[in-house]
Amino acid sequence: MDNALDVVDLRKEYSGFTLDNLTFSLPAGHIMGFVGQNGAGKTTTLRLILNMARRDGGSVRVLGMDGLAEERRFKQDIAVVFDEIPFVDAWSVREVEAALRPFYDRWSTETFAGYTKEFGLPPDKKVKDLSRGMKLKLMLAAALSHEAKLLILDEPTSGLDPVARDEMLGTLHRSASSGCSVLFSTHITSDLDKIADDVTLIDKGRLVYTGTKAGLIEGFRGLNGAGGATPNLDEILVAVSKGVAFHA
Amino acid sequence: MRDILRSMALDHRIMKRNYPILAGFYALAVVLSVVAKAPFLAVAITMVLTAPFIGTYFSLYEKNRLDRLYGSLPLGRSSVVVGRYAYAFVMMLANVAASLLLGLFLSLFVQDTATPFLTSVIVAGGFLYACLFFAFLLPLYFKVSFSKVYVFVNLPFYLVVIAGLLLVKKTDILTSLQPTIKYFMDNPAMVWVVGIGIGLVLLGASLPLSIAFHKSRESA
Repeated sequence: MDNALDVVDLRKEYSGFTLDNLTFSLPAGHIMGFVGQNGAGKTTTLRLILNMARRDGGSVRVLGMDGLAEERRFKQDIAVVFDEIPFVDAWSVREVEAALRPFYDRWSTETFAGYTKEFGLPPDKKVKDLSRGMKLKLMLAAALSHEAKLLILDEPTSGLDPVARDEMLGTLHRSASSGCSVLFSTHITSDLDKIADDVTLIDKGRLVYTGTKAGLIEGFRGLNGAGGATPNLDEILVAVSKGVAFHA
Repeated sequence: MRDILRSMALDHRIMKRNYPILAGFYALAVVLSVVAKAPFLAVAITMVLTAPFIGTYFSLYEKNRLDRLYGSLPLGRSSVVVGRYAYAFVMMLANVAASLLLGLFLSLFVQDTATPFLTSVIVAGGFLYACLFFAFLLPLYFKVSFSKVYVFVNLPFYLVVIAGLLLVKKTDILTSLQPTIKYFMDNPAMVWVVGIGIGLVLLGASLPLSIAFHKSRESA
Protein backbone atom coordinates (compact mmCIF):
# COMPACT_ATOMS: atom_id res chain seq x y z
CA MET A 1 0.00 0.00 0.00
CA ASP A 2 1.61 3.23 -1.22
CA ASN A 3 -1.12 5.62 -0.23
CA ALA A 4 -3.04 5.90 3.00
CA LEU A 5 -5.80 7.74 1.18
CA ASP A 6 -6.87 8.00 -2.45
CA VAL A 7 -9.61 10.43 -3.34
CA VAL A 8 -10.60 10.34 -7.00
CA ASP A 9 -13.05 12.72 -8.71
CA LEU A 10 -14.97 13.24 -5.48
CA ARG A 11 -18.09 15.27 -6.14
CA LYS A 12 -20.81 16.72 -3.98
CA GLU A 13 -23.41 19.27 -4.96
CA TYR A 14 -25.27 21.50 -2.53
CA SER A 15 -27.33 24.50 -3.50
CA GLY A 16 -24.75 27.26 -3.84
CA PHE A 17 -21.69 25.03 -3.49
CA THR A 18 -20.13 22.21 -5.47
CA LEU A 19 -17.16 20.10 -4.52
CA ASP A 20 -15.89 19.68 -8.00
CA ASN A 21 -14.28 16.34 -8.86
CA LEU A 22 -11.60 16.55 -6.19
CA THR A 23 -8.61 14.22 -6.63
CA PHE A 24 -5.67 13.80 -4.28
CA SER A 25 -3.64 11.11 -2.55
CA LEU A 26 -1.98 10.99 0.84
CA PRO A 27 1.23 8.91 0.77
CA ALA A 28 1.51 6.44 3.66
CA GLY A 29 3.42 7.82 6.63
CA HIS A 30 3.14 11.44 5.48
CA ILE A 31 1.50 14.44 7.10
CA MET A 32 -0.68 16.26 4.58
CA GLY A 33 -2.10 19.68 5.20
CA PHE A 34 -5.57 20.07 3.73
CA VAL A 35 -5.86 23.78 3.21
CA GLY A 36 -8.42 26.26 2.02
CA GLN A 37 -10.26 29.27 3.33
CA ASN A 38 -13.50 28.85 5.27
CA GLY A 39 -16.16 27.42 3.00
CA ALA A 40 -13.66 25.99 0.50
CA GLY A 41 -15.00 22.46 1.00
CA LYS A 42 -12.53 20.96 3.48
CA THR A 43 -15.10 19.71 5.99
CA THR A 44 -17.38 18.52 3.17
CA THR A 45 -14.50 16.46 1.80
CA LEU A 46 -13.77 14.90 5.19
CA ARG A 47 -17.48 14.12 5.73
CA LEU A 48 -17.56 12.43 2.34
CA ILE A 49 -14.46 10.38 3.17
CA LEU A 50 -16.16 9.27 6.42
CA ASN A 51 -19.51 8.66 4.65
CA MET A 52 -21.20 11.19 6.91
CA ALA A 53 -22.54 12.67 3.68
CA ARG A 54 -23.45 10.93 0.43
CA ARG A 55 -21.18 11.63 -2.49
CA ASP A 56 -22.59 12.48 -5.90
CA GLY A 57 -19.63 11.00 -7.71
CA GLY A 58 -16.09 9.72 -7.42
CA SER A 59 -14.42 7.17 -5.22
CA VAL A 60 -12.44 6.99 -1.99
CA ARG A 61 -9.97 4.34 -0.92
CA VAL A 62 -8.77 4.40 2.67
CA LEU A 63 -5.70 2.32 3.57
CA GLY A 64 -6.31 0.34 0.39
CA MET A 65 -9.96 -0.37 1.30
CA ASP A 66 -13.03 0.78 -0.58
CA GLY A 67 -14.55 3.73 1.23
CA LEU A 68 -18.12 2.48 0.88
CA ALA A 69 -17.97 -1.31 0.71
CA GLU A 70 -15.37 -1.63 3.48
CA GLU A 71 -16.42 1.31 5.67
CA ARG A 72 -16.66 -0.68 8.88
CA ARG A 73 -13.23 -2.24 8.28
CA PHE A 74 -11.36 0.93 7.42
CA LYS A 75 -12.86 2.75 10.40
CA GLN A 76 -11.11 0.25 12.67
CA ASP A 77 -7.85 1.63 11.30
CA ILE A 78 -8.52 5.35 11.32
CA ALA A 79 -9.07 7.99 13.96
CA VAL A 80 -10.79 11.33 13.62
CA VAL A 81 -10.32 14.53 15.59
CA PHE A 82 -13.05 17.08 15.00
CA ASP A 83 -13.09 20.80 15.65
CA GLU A 84 -15.62 20.20 18.44
CA ILE A 85 -15.67 17.35 20.91
CA PRO A 86 -18.04 14.54 19.84
CA PHE A 87 -18.64 13.08 23.30
CA VAL A 88 -21.51 13.48 25.75
CA ASP A 89 -20.67 16.51 27.87
CA ALA A 90 -21.74 14.73 31.06
CA TRP A 91 -19.23 11.91 30.49
CA SER A 92 -16.02 11.89 32.48
CA VAL A 93 -12.66 11.21 30.81
CA ARG A 94 -12.89 7.66 32.17
CA GLU A 95 -16.37 7.21 30.68
CA VAL A 96 -15.18 8.36 27.27
CA GLU A 97 -12.66 5.53 27.32
CA ALA A 98 -15.30 3.04 28.49
CA ALA A 99 -17.66 4.13 25.71
CA LEU A 100 -15.10 3.87 22.90
CA ARG A 101 -13.14 0.79 23.99
CA PRO A 102 -15.68 -1.88 22.89
CA PHE A 103 -15.67 -0.64 19.30
CA TYR A 104 -11.98 -1.10 18.53
CA ASP A 105 -10.24 -4.47 18.24
CA ARG A 106 -6.83 -2.98 19.06
CA TRP A 107 -7.91 -0.53 21.75
CA SER A 108 -5.32 -0.18 24.51
CA THR A 109 -6.47 1.07 27.90
CA GLU A 110 -2.81 1.43 28.90
CA THR A 111 -2.10 3.68 25.91
CA PHE A 112 -5.16 5.82 26.70
CA ALA A 113 -4.12 6.06 30.35
CA GLY A 114 -0.61 7.00 29.24
CA TYR A 115 -1.84 9.83 27.04
CA THR A 116 -4.32 11.16 29.61
CA LYS A 117 -1.50 11.22 32.17
CA GLU A 118 0.87 12.90 29.72
CA PHE A 119 -1.78 15.46 28.77
CA GLY A 120 -2.80 16.08 32.40
CA LEU A 121 -6.40 14.92 31.94
CA PRO A 122 -7.99 13.97 35.29
CA PRO A 123 -9.92 10.68 34.78
CA ASP A 124 -12.97 11.89 36.71
CA LYS A 125 -13.21 15.32 35.13
CA LYS A 126 -16.31 15.78 33.00
CA VAL A 127 -16.06 16.69 29.34
CA LYS A 128 -18.11 19.86 29.87
CA ASP A 129 -15.63 21.06 32.50
CA LEU A 130 -12.59 20.74 30.22
CA SER A 131 -11.05 23.76 28.50
CA ARG A 132 -10.90 23.88 24.69
CA GLY A 133 -7.28 22.74 24.79
CA MET A 134 -8.04 19.89 27.19
CA LYS A 135 -10.95 18.75 25.01
CA LEU A 136 -8.62 18.57 22.05
CA LYS A 137 -6.16 16.54 24.11
CA LEU A 138 -8.93 14.16 25.11
CA MET A 139 -9.89 13.69 21.46
CA LEU A 140 -6.24 13.09 20.60
CA ALA A 141 -5.83 10.57 23.44
CA ALA A 142 -8.90 8.69 22.20
CA ALA A 143 -7.70 8.88 18.60
CA LEU A 144 -4.25 7.51 19.38
CA SER A 145 -5.32 4.61 21.60
CA HIS A 146 -6.29 2.03 18.98
CA GLU A 147 -3.20 1.96 16.76
CA ALA A 148 -4.83 4.00 13.99
CA LYS A 149 -2.92 4.01 10.73
CA LEU A 150 -4.58 7.16 9.45
CA LEU A 151 -5.43 10.19 11.53
CA ILE A 152 -7.92 12.69 10.12
CA LEU A 153 -8.10 16.09 11.79
CA ASP A 154 -10.74 18.68 10.98
CA GLU A 155 -9.63 22.16 12.04
CA PRO A 156 -8.39 20.92 15.42
CA THR A 157 -6.30 23.95 16.30
CA SER A 158 -9.01 26.59 15.84
CA GLY A 159 -9.32 28.59 19.04
CA LEU A 160 -6.28 27.03 20.71
CA ASP A 161 -3.58 29.06 22.39
CA PRO A 162 -0.05 28.79 20.90
CA VAL A 163 1.21 26.49 23.68
CA ALA A 164 -1.61 23.98 23.22
CA ARG A 165 -1.17 24.12 19.45
CA ASP A 166 2.53 23.47 19.76
CA GLU A 167 1.91 20.48 22.05
CA MET A 168 -0.62 19.06 19.63
CA LEU A 169 1.71 19.45 16.68
CA GLY A 170 4.43 17.68 18.64
CA THR A 171 2.11 14.76 19.31
CA LEU A 172 1.14 14.60 15.64
CA HIS A 173 4.76 14.63 14.58
CA ARG A 174 5.50 11.73 16.91
CA SER A 175 2.57 9.76 15.50
CA ALA A 176 3.75 10.32 11.96
CA SER A 177 7.25 9.24 12.95
CA SER A 178 5.82 5.92 14.08
CA GLY A 179 4.19 5.37 10.68
CA CYS A 180 0.75 6.92 11.13
CA SER A 181 -0.44 8.99 8.17
CA VAL A 182 -2.10 12.31 8.93
CA LEU A 183 -4.61 14.37 6.96
CA PHE A 184 -4.75 17.73 8.70
CA SER A 185 -7.48 20.11 7.60
CA THR A 186 -6.84 23.68 8.68
CA HIS A 187 -6.88 27.30 7.68
CA ILE A 188 -4.14 28.11 10.22
CA THR A 189 -1.32 27.52 7.80
CA SER A 190 1.49 28.28 10.25
CA ASP A 191 0.78 24.85 11.80
CA LEU A 192 1.56 23.22 8.47
CA ASP A 193 4.74 25.21 7.96
CA LYS A 194 6.03 23.28 10.97
CA ILE A 195 4.97 19.71 10.29
CA ALA A 196 3.44 19.06 6.85
CA ASP A 197 5.22 17.00 4.18
CA ASP A 198 2.48 17.53 1.62
CA VAL A 199 -0.26 20.03 0.98
CA THR A 200 -3.58 19.81 -0.80
CA LEU A 201 -5.00 23.25 -1.45
CA ILE A 202 -8.60 23.75 -2.47
CA ASP A 203 -10.56 26.89 -3.24
CA LYS A 204 -14.34 27.18 -3.77
CA GLY A 205 -14.64 23.41 -4.03
CA ARG A 206 -11.90 23.03 -6.63
CA LEU A 207 -8.44 21.59 -6.37
CA VAL A 208 -5.70 24.22 -6.72
CA TYR A 209 -2.70 22.11 -5.82
CA THR A 210 -1.77 18.74 -4.38
CA GLY A 211 1.79 17.60 -3.84
CA THR A 212 4.79 18.38 -1.70
CA LYS A 213 4.86 21.53 0.40
CA ALA A 214 8.10 22.52 -1.31
CA GLY A 215 6.45 22.15 -4.73
CA LEU A 216 3.60 24.45 -3.70
CA ILE A 217 5.96 27.13 -2.46
CA GLU A 218 8.02 26.79 -5.63
CA GLY A 219 4.90 27.31 -7.76
CA PHE A 220 4.19 30.61 -6.03
CA ARG A 221 7.81 31.76 -5.82
CA GLY A 222 7.15 34.91 -7.81
CA LEU A 223 4.28 35.94 -5.55
CA ASN A 224 6.26 38.60 -3.72
CA GLY A 225 7.81 39.95 -6.90
CA ALA A 226 11.04 38.97 -8.64
CA GLY A 227 13.76 38.48 -6.04
CA GLY A 228 11.19 38.79 -3.26
CA ALA A 229 10.96 36.62 -0.17
CA THR A 230 9.81 33.02 -0.50
CA PRO A 231 6.07 33.07 0.18
CA ASN A 232 4.70 31.19 3.16
CA LEU A 233 1.49 29.14 3.11
CA ASP A 234 -0.52 32.00 4.55
CA GLU A 235 0.46 34.32 1.71
CA ILE A 236 -0.25 31.59 -0.82
CA LEU A 237 -3.72 30.97 0.65
CA VAL A 238 -4.56 34.68 0.47
CA ALA A 239 -3.23 34.87 -3.10
CA VAL A 240 -5.31 31.86 -4.20
CA SER A 241 -8.44 33.40 -2.68
CA LYS A 242 -7.75 36.47 -4.85
CA GLY A 243 -7.50 34.34 -7.98
CA VAL A 244 -3.71 34.02 -8.36
CA ALA A 245 -3.02 30.76 -10.22
CA PHE A 246 -0.48 28.07 -9.39
CA HIS A 247 2.38 27.76 -11.85
CA ALA A 248 4.05 24.35 -12.06
CA MET B 1 -24.82 -9.18 16.51
CA ARG B 2 -21.75 -7.85 18.29
CA ASP B 3 -22.24 -4.47 16.67
CA ILE B 4 -25.88 -4.35 17.79
CA LEU B 5 -24.88 -5.10 21.37
CA ARG B 6 -22.15 -2.45 21.19
CA SER B 7 -24.65 0.04 19.83
CA MET B 8 -27.09 -0.78 22.66
CA ALA B 9 -24.33 -0.38 25.22
CA LEU B 10 -23.43 3.01 23.77
CA ASP B 11 -27.09 4.10 23.88
CA HIS B 12 -27.19 3.06 27.53
CA ARG B 13 -24.05 5.08 28.30
CA ILE B 14 -25.49 8.11 26.56
CA MET B 15 -28.81 7.86 28.42
CA LYS B 16 -27.78 6.72 31.87
CA ARG B 17 -27.40 10.22 33.31
CA ASN B 18 -31.13 10.69 32.68
CA TYR B 19 -32.27 7.51 34.43
CA PRO B 20 -33.00 9.27 37.76
CA ILE B 21 -35.87 11.04 35.95
CA LEU B 22 -37.61 7.65 35.85
CA ALA B 23 -37.93 7.77 39.64
CA GLY B 24 -40.28 10.73 39.23
CA PHE B 25 -42.44 8.74 36.82
CA TYR B 26 -42.67 5.89 39.32
CA ALA B 27 -43.63 8.27 42.12
CA LEU B 28 -46.44 9.66 39.95
CA ALA B 29 -47.50 6.12 39.05
CA VAL B 30 -47.75 5.21 42.74
CA VAL B 31 -49.88 8.23 43.58
CA LEU B 32 -52.31 7.76 40.67
CA SER B 33 -52.58 4.00 41.21
CA VAL B 34 -53.40 4.48 44.89
CA VAL B 35 -55.95 7.20 44.14
CA ALA B 36 -57.59 5.05 41.44
CA LYS B 37 -57.41 1.96 43.66
CA ALA B 38 -55.93 0.06 40.72
CA PRO B 39 -52.36 -0.97 41.62
CA PHE B 40 -51.56 -2.18 38.12
CA LEU B 41 -52.45 1.18 36.64
CA ALA B 42 -48.82 1.88 37.60
CA VAL B 43 -47.72 -0.20 34.60
CA ALA B 44 -49.73 1.82 32.09
CA ILE B 45 -48.67 5.15 33.61
CA THR B 46 -45.03 4.12 33.65
CA MET B 47 -45.13 2.96 30.02
CA VAL B 48 -46.90 6.09 28.79
CA LEU B 49 -44.25 8.27 30.50
CA THR B 50 -41.23 6.09 29.71
CA ALA B 51 -41.83 6.02 25.95
CA PRO B 52 -41.19 9.76 25.37
CA PHE B 53 -38.38 9.60 27.95
CA ILE B 54 -36.48 7.13 25.75
CA GLY B 55 -37.13 9.44 22.81
CA THR B 56 -35.05 12.11 24.56
CA TYR B 57 -32.00 10.10 23.45
CA PHE B 58 -32.27 12.00 20.17
CA SER B 59 -32.16 15.30 22.02
CA LEU B 60 -28.88 14.28 23.67
CA TYR B 61 -27.63 13.10 20.27
CA GLU B 62 -28.17 16.54 18.76
CA LYS B 63 -27.06 18.54 21.77
CA ASN B 64 -23.74 16.71 21.93
CA ARG B 65 -23.22 16.53 18.16
CA LEU B 66 -22.99 12.75 18.36
CA ASP B 67 -23.30 12.47 14.58
CA ARG B 68 -19.56 13.03 14.60
CA LEU B 69 -18.94 10.24 17.09
CA TYR B 70 -21.09 7.81 15.12
CA GLY B 71 -19.50 9.02 11.88
CA SER B 72 -16.06 7.95 13.05
CA LEU B 73 -16.94 4.68 14.82
CA PRO B 74 -16.59 1.33 13.03
CA LEU B 75 -20.30 0.69 13.26
CA GLY B 76 -22.73 0.04 10.41
CA ARG B 77 -25.77 2.27 10.09
CA SER B 78 -28.15 -0.69 10.24
CA SER B 79 -26.55 -1.83 13.50
CA VAL B 80 -27.12 1.64 14.96
CA VAL B 81 -30.84 1.49 14.16
CA VAL B 82 -31.39 -2.11 15.22
CA GLY B 83 -29.42 -1.38 18.38
CA ARG B 84 -31.61 1.66 19.13
CA TYR B 85 -34.79 -0.40 18.71
CA ALA B 86 -33.34 -3.17 20.85
CA TYR B 87 -32.33 -0.66 23.51
CA ALA B 88 -35.81 0.91 23.51
CA PHE B 89 -37.40 -2.54 23.71
CA VAL B 90 -35.18 -3.66 26.59
CA MET B 91 -35.93 -0.43 28.43
CA MET B 92 -39.64 -1.03 27.86
CA LEU B 93 -39.41 -4.59 29.17
CA ALA B 94 -37.36 -3.49 32.17
CA ASN B 95 -39.95 -0.85 33.01
CA VAL B 96 -42.85 -3.26 32.51
CA ALA B 97 -41.14 -5.69 34.88
CA ALA B 98 -40.34 -3.00 37.45
CA SER B 99 -43.82 -1.49 37.32
CA LEU B 100 -45.45 -4.93 37.56
CA LEU B 101 -43.45 -5.53 40.73
CA LEU B 102 -44.53 -2.10 41.91
CA GLY B 103 -48.16 -3.02 41.13
CA LEU B 104 -47.81 -6.27 43.07
CA PHE B 105 -46.31 -4.38 45.98
CA LEU B 106 -49.07 -1.78 45.94
CA SER B 107 -51.72 -4.50 45.83
CA LEU B 108 -50.54 -5.56 49.32
CA PHE B 109 -51.77 -2.24 50.67
CA VAL B 110 -54.45 -1.09 48.23
CA GLN B 111 -57.65 -3.00 47.60
CA ASP B 112 -57.58 -3.72 43.84
CA THR B 113 -61.00 -2.79 42.46
CA ALA B 114 -60.04 -3.65 38.88
CA THR B 115 -61.12 -6.99 37.40
CA PRO B 116 -58.48 -9.32 35.89
CA PHE B 117 -59.80 -8.26 32.48
CA LEU B 118 -59.36 -4.57 33.22
CA THR B 119 -55.91 -5.18 34.71
CA SER B 120 -54.90 -7.03 31.54
CA VAL B 121 -56.23 -4.20 29.37
CA ILE B 122 -54.31 -1.64 31.44
CA VAL B 123 -51.00 -3.51 31.37
CA ALA B 124 -51.13 -4.81 27.79
CA GLY B 125 -52.52 -1.44 26.66
CA GLY B 126 -49.56 0.34 28.24
CA PHE B 127 -47.14 -1.93 26.40
CA LEU B 128 -49.05 -1.50 23.14
CA TYR B 129 -49.03 2.27 23.56
CA ALA B 130 -45.26 2.29 24.06
CA CYS B 131 -44.81 0.14 20.93
CA LEU B 132 -47.11 2.45 18.96
CA PHE B 133 -45.10 5.41 20.19
CA PHE B 134 -41.80 3.94 19.05
CA ALA B 135 -43.18 2.56 15.80
CA PHE B 136 -44.49 6.01 14.91
CA LEU B 137 -41.75 8.27 16.21
CA LEU B 138 -38.46 6.39 15.80
CA PRO B 139 -38.60 6.52 11.98
CA LEU B 140 -39.30 10.26 12.26
CA TYR B 141 -36.36 10.73 14.63
CA PHE B 142 -34.12 8.95 12.15
CA LYS B 143 -35.49 11.04 9.29
CA VAL B 144 -35.45 14.58 10.71
CA SER B 145 -33.99 16.45 13.64
CA PHE B 146 -35.32 16.02 17.20
CA SER B 147 -36.51 19.60 17.42
CA LYS B 148 -38.74 19.10 14.39
CA VAL B 149 -40.20 15.86 15.72
CA TYR B 150 -40.57 16.97 19.34
CA VAL B 151 -43.85 18.69 18.61
CA PHE B 152 -45.29 15.31 17.51
CA VAL B 153 -44.15 13.47 20.63
CA ASN B 154 -47.63 13.14 22.07
CA LEU B 155 -49.33 12.62 18.74
CA PRO B 156 -49.70 8.82 19.17
CA PHE B 157 -51.51 9.44 22.46
CA TYR B 158 -53.86 12.00 20.92
CA LEU B 159 -54.48 9.78 17.90
CA VAL B 160 -55.40 6.82 20.08
CA VAL B 161 -57.76 8.89 22.23
CA ILE B 162 -59.39 10.70 19.28
CA ALA B 163 -59.75 7.49 17.25
CA GLY B 164 -61.30 5.75 20.27
CA LEU B 165 -63.74 8.56 20.96
CA LEU B 166 -64.78 8.82 17.31
CA LEU B 167 -65.30 5.07 17.07
CA VAL B 168 -67.48 5.06 20.17
CA LYS B 169 -69.44 8.16 19.17
CA LYS B 170 -69.95 7.62 15.44
CA THR B 171 -70.49 3.89 15.39
CA ASP B 172 -72.22 1.27 17.41
CA ILE B 173 -68.86 -0.35 17.84
CA LEU B 174 -69.44 -1.08 21.51
CA THR B 175 -72.54 -3.09 20.64
CA SER B 176 -70.93 -4.92 17.77
CA LEU B 177 -67.81 -5.56 19.80
CA GLN B 178 -69.73 -7.02 22.72
CA PRO B 179 -69.05 -10.65 21.72
CA THR B 180 -65.35 -9.81 21.29
CA ILE B 181 -65.21 -7.97 24.61
CA LYS B 182 -66.97 -10.88 26.27
CA TYR B 183 -64.43 -13.27 24.76
CA PHE B 184 -61.55 -11.23 26.18
CA MET B 185 -63.31 -10.89 29.55
CA ASP B 186 -63.58 -14.66 29.67
CA ASN B 187 -59.98 -15.05 28.46
CA PRO B 188 -57.96 -12.15 29.92
CA ALA B 189 -54.71 -13.85 28.89
CA MET B 190 -55.66 -13.22 25.26
CA VAL B 191 -55.60 -9.49 25.93
CA TRP B 192 -51.90 -9.87 26.70
CA VAL B 193 -51.31 -11.98 23.59
CA VAL B 194 -53.07 -9.50 21.31
CA GLY B 195 -51.56 -6.38 22.96
CA ILE B 196 -48.02 -7.69 22.93
CA GLY B 197 -48.47 -9.26 19.48
CA ILE B 198 -49.73 -6.06 17.82
CA GLY B 199 -47.02 -4.08 19.62
CA LEU B 200 -44.28 -6.32 18.26
CA VAL B 201 -45.75 -6.25 14.75
CA LEU B 202 -45.80 -2.43 14.85
CA LEU B 203 -42.17 -2.30 15.96
CA GLY B 204 -41.16 -4.87 13.35
CA ALA B 205 -42.92 -2.91 10.62
CA SER B 206 -41.27 0.41 11.50
CA LEU B 207 -37.72 -0.97 11.82
CA PRO B 208 -37.01 -1.25 8.05
CA LEU B 209 -38.39 2.26 7.60
CA SER B 210 -36.01 3.61 10.24
CA ILE B 211 -33.06 1.80 8.64
CA ALA B 212 -33.93 3.27 5.24
CA PHE B 213 -34.28 6.78 6.70
CA HIS B 214 -31.04 6.56 8.68
CA LYS B 215 -29.08 5.28 5.70
CA SER B 216 -30.29 8.12 3.51
CA ARG B 217 -29.86 10.85 6.11
CA GLU B 218 -26.76 13.02 6.07
CA SER B 219 -25.35 14.36 9.29
CA ALA B 220 -25.71 18.08 9.86
